[in-house]
Amino acid sequence: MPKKVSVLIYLWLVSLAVLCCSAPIYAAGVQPLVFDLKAAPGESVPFEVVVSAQELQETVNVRMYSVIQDVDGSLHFANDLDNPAVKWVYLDTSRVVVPPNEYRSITGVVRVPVTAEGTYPIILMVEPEAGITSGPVTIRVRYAVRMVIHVDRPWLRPNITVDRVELGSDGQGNALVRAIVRNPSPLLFPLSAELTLRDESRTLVERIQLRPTGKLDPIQPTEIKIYPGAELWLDGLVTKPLFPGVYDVRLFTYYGDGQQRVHTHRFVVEDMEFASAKDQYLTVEPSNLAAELIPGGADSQVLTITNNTREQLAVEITAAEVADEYPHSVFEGLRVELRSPQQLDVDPRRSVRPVLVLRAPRDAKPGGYYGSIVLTAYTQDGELVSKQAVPLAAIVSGEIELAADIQGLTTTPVPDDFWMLSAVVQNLGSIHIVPTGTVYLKDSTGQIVRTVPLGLPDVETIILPEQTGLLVSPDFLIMPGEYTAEVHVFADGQELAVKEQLVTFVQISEEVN
Amino acid sequence: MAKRVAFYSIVISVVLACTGWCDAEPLALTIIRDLDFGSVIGAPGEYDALEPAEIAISASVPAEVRLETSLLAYVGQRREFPSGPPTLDIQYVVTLVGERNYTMKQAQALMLTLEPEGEYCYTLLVDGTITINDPTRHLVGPYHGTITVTLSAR
Repeated sequence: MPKKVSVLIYLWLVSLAVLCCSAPIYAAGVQPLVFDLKAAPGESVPFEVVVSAQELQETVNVRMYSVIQDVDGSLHFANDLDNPAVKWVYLDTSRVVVPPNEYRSITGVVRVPVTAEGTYPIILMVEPEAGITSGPVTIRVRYAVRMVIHVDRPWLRPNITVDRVELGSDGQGNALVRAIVRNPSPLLFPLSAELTLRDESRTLVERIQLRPTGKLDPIQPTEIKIYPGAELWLDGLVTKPLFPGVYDVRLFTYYGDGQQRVHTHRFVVEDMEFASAKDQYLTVEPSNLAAELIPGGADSQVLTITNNTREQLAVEITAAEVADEYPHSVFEGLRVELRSPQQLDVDPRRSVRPVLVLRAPRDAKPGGYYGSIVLTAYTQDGELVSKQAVPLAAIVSGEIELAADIQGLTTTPVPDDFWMLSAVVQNLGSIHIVPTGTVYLKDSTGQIVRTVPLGLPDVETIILPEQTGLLVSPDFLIMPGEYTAEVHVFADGQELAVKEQLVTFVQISEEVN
Repeated sequence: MAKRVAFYSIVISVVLACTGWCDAEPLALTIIRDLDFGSVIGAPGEYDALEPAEIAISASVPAEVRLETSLLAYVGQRREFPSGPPTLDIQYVVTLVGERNYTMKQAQALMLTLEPEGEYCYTLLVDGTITINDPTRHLVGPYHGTITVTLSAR
């Protein structure tokens, strides 16, 4: 290409870019971004999505896409799949012109066939035409509006299968456990999982909360929605050393509305690959912060942060909530002051001791307030090397309410013909609980044939207000058959809940690997 | 060969798609600045963008931003390529300011999750580097690729 022509083209392209940058703002807003439609088989349900424009007229196109859930839980969208539900959606128009500073509706109807059952997620992809550029590299902007069609059938139940549990490396020398779970049901429902690792003497090595693969940040939520037919990889880092030996794994999966599945597995560690302790960069003490206050009072807490490396680390101190809009948030209900800069430089092999001051307003309601302090360490090059969350609990004295609900009891076969029981318990009170339980197993005549104690999986576990937790039994032997289980849950010497339910003990060999 | 100098004019021009209505929309996106490579000479080497693209995302709800890149492929007059058109090797560096950097090549996808506490405006920088190792493998002329940015609520 002659040089003159190239220069001219270049100047033209630069001019185009400058023109584009100085152009008025084209903008489209879309609401809602997620909506649910409940429909009976054979029913037609209308829907509406509102698109608004800002300074200039906006034209948007709407196309239907299918949703695919990746193993890390994230969603991607495809318009070339043979998804029958896409054909149920009839748009009144697929192109909408929105005048400046006005809004227009994208309307349509979903015609559900009589054979439909379950949850059908579909994407209305709203693509502003101004979001497609004409340069050599186009940036397309689009909004994925998620429409979730629920077709209820009385026989549908959330269900999961555990394909396998693996022990491997995270690529940085840390042991990583991975549970691969699948949703064979046609329903969309929330799921969370944790597992316990015990050595040959049945001593608990570690209890690990699992998160979607690649999202192990401790402040990330542990609950995820699993889509119909999806497979998820749930990972957790083992922070305690694993010396050669045999380890029993119990995977506890909570899903749907109070349902659970327990999966047992056995790892054999043959060498010293995972025998070193993990997060070597930063040590934080104590591992939990606990304060007690009276209304109008204050309490201070000290964290000791030690840099175990040979280089200076920058440690950033931030706050994390237990859950979105958590009603017992320590950061909302109380005042938490950090008496140090939010970012601290910690010299090699040295410690710093930031102080937290908690203040309870005079009108603070008695009860527990919770959250976490997150410590994120970076090297001088800005590389993130450690992220740790320290749970923070503050108890405001006064009249405390203790209450709980037993959401369900599950039987699980474990090796050597033993069984275990696990109960999902929701804390309905105003303070955390450390519950215990007892299960009386009664035969068909009503006679108690076995009394089984229940406890939390490890001594560090508590159940926060509004949250659920699991009580598990030791392994026990029982004759196969159907029993009535009478479950009692206690905390602080009080009985909080009682529930009776039928349970069946039938050996299912494939549950034990 | 030394005289064979190709010019690749790469200007990633971005027209604004939507703007940050922090007080009106739960999710909105504004493109502040283009990703501009200026003129790329076809000699072996690495060619950084003159400035990274800057994208502002205002979010008041947990959201996911998915970036998908296509091949940066030749789209000139010559159309017959038995094994597909020649492509330029481009690597993008995506930075969610205050959080971390991600690298992505062409024909890859990247998912960013946003967890705003209340209403928050994030800044996303997209930088790029074109690498040319063997100029004889690249035709002189226009090349085209796409970065698709999809916003969705979590």
